[in-house]
Amino acid sequence: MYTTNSELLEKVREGDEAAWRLFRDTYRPLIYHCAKQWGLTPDDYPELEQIVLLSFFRVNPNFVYDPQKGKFRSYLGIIMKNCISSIFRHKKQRTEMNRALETQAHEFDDSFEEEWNREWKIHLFWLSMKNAAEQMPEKVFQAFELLEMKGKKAAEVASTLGISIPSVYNYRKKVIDFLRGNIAEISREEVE
Amino acid sequence: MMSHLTDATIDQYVKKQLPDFERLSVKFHLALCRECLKRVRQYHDDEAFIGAYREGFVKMNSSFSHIQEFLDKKEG
Repeated sequence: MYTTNSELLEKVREGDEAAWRLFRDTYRPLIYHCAKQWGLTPDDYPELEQIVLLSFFRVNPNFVYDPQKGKFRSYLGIIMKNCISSIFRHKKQRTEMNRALETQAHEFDDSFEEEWNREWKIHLFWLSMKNAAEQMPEKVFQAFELLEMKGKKAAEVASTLGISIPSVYNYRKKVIDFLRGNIAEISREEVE
Repeated sequence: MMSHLTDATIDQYVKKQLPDFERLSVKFHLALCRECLKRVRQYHDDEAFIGAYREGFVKMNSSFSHIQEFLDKKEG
């Protein structure tokens, strides 16, 4: 079943361990990917993940995400921006800051929103692909993945999966329809 | 009776993977067959949808697996 961010955050706040794991697994690829994009080193990623996820409740342990006050994307975007800046600041304090790092932090400020929105869209797609992999029959999803994400020819996909070429295209269509619907559903939740 | 284009042909046509002479033959067919033209348009639409995400998704997936691998090694 699809869980909205508000429901999920509510469960995390109540100390539900499964909800916490789901929350972490859902946002980990986005957080790691953005950390890499914005110049943090792999050693910083676990720290970033921890402070991003804890930031929701650190300021106020009774924090309740209210979709009326803003999109979840924006909440997370602001938290990411603050946490990445904070790690850069700590690095500066800990080590001698070189010029390249200063430039990086400055450029990051100017382009953050545009880049964040782009990464967020990819995150929604990643999430929908995960949902498709979990909810659709294995061969249906694999046919789509091999054809569209791994660039295999239809004949190769058919032979690998032991299905006909028309089935490959039939499965491809099913997954595309699922993804369109799922992304629309997740995006709707952002504004509701 | 004219036979319709196969899905594989439409796929290769939209992804520009057909040799020139076959591409021309598909174009000729599309000028005469509304049903296939409709299918090609739908395929273009689907390709635009997937294409908008493909590169970013592959990049995100690859950086995530590299990072995960790095962290696993570190922990191990």
